[in-house]
Amino acid sequence: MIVNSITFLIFFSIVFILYYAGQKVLKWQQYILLFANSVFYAWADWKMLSLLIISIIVFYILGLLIEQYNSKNLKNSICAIGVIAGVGLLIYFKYLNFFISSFTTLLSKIGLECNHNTLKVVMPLGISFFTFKLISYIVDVRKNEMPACKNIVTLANYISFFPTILSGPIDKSTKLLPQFEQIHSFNYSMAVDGCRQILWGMFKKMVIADGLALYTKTNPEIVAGSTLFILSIYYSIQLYCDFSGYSDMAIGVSKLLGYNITPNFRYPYFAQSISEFWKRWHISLLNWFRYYIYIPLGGSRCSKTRCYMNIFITFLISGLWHGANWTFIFWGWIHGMFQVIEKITGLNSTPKNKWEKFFRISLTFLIINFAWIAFRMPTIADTFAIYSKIFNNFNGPLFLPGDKTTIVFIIFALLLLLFKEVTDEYFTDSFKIMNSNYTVVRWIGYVSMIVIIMLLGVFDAGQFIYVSF
Amino acid sequence: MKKIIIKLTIFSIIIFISDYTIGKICHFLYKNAKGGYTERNYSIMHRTTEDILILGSSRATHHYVPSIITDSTGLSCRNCGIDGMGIILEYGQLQVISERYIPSITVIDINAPFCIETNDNTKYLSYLKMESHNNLISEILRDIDKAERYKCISQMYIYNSQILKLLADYYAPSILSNDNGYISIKGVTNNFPTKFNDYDFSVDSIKLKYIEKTITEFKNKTKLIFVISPVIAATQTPSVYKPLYLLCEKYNVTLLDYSASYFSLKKEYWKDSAHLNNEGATAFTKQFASDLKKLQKDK
Repeated sequence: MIVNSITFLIFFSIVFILYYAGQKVLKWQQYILLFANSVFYAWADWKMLSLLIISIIVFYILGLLIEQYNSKNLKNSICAIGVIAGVGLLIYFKYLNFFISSFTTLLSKIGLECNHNTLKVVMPLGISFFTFKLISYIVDVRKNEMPACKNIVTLANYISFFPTILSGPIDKSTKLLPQFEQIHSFNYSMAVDGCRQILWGMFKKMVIADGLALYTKTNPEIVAGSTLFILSIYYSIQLYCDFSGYSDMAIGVSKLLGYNITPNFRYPYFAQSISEFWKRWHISLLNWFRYYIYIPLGGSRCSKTRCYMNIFITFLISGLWHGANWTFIFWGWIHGMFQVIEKITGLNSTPKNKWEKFFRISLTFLIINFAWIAFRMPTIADTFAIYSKIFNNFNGPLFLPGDKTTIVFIIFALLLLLFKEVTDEYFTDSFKIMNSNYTVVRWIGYVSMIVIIMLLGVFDAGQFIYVSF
Repeated sequence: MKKIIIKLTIFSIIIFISDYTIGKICHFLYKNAKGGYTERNYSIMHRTTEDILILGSSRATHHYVPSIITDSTGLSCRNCGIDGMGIILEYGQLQVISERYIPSITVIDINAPFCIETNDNTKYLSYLKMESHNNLISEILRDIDKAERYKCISQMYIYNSQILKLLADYYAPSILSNDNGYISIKGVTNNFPTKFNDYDFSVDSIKLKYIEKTITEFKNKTKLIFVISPVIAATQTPSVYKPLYLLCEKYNVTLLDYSASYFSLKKEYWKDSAHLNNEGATAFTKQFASDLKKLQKDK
């Protein structure tokens, strides 16, 4: 069930009515939400619903056990069991075949031929997201940052919350879990804000991301470097609009139900350094890595070399988190490496003037853009083939599929996106159409957005890119 | 809650009015298009009167020269090919056309990716959506995607992704063809393969169903001829066309297969890996017209 589909609209309308029908009874809201979460996940992947349920039960028991025992060692051991179980789930379902084939390739490269069979493992949808939430919960309980959840329905709702289970945001348990223990009365301003975010998310996903997707599918073998470079920029924008569009919709839907979810994006392509980019892109994931990997490794409160190593390790893991492929590890390596370079050279400092700022934004975007090529291609060899074509065969004919009208459409949609992002980033509220103080301006903004989506949106594009992670 | 319900109601009314008004404007632009593919599609559905109609994808558009066919057969002919379209649109076109008249001969150029292989069938609905007020067409839309019937309630959605084309084809129309729908292309490909590589594919039962529906519903009304026009470098008919052979055999419908013909191997005839250039199209159409004439005589 895709969030921007008619099926979801019907599903959510029913959930919304039932949810607020019992807005004075906590248990009613909790059970309605649990039912909705189960239906949503089963709709996407019913075979793996049992895995999700078992995981929740196991972590619920582990949480209670941590609280029950006084011994530090015992608490640590139980927490370690939880972390190993969470990581184990990820390894088995997502990485086992990758590790087996990488290991046997390595053996064959050093002359030790061995036959291997990969396992037929079906990766459960959203596993990267819900396992991180499970780990977050168990570690936070162990660190005494929050008490163990006494009500399994609350924990289940936190882990399987339907707007966020497939693609995040991955909220820390201390922030989100307590919200499932409260009664949620209908909040008008939150609901309006949610609708606004859903609308903007739909525009980004259906008009820009899915529109550009028609071009980024172009076979790279048949086009020259100049075209590949433009297509790589298209892909950078597509990925941003696809993922941030989903996040906006997920946050909007959550707001309609009264839940505050961490914003996942803050105009990332306006970042002036790679370090800043990661404060603006997939914020919830980076927060997770910061709390549960970077800081436990020592963070920045250690020697410089160790700190650089910590950054590097965190980003290699972040790369691997995105997918079981060397291309993702390479992508993480690029980001880690540039952050270390920035730290060494001091390039992550504030720019002196607006030209330097503009230069830094452009340079950062170019680096990120080249890194996304690794993210997109199936193998490292393919990635380097694209790099080579861009740098060595740039002056070929420019080939962009589609006719003049599609180019006009792309320019129009991108200008609209740019206008919104620039006004949000650099101007005050008075410049914002959908947030204007004047009702007429706001409503014109809403209606225009719906008209644009209806006339220019792609309605049958399918699932979001990040769902496959 | 009351406040949001009232506001949502007002908002819905505004959206409904906008949808209706913009939909009507789009419909006007569609019906009165002066050129481009909008006018081409509308004309095919509502203005054709020719004896021979050639339906198909861009391969049809660039492979059949109507004036040669008319000279050879003495029958008026129109090339109705539409880029990137396949049997689902062609079945719909025939349905709409048949409400006005039935052509004596209907040629359907079969292009495997759009008529046999499995891929997203909703992409073949873009031109049909603009005719969704027609019950026969709305049935096709429902069949391909159940949600389409609900989506098509919106007048704007019917013209989804067409608005810029509609405006361009009304205000700055381009003339696509000077020869009854045929669009010539010039130049010779630089990448002529030495042999045709057959490939893995899966057969789309929905597309085959529409080929079968076309046969069963129209073979007794018009002389239905399926054609596989030349395939670059093919030395034998690619295996993907086997299901078409079986259907034509089953219903005793004429199938002319030029996939591995003389034209396939002549580099100078090809503009790119899928399309003949003007020289190739002229040579191929002469051969096709002569075969068509023979078929007429046999009849």
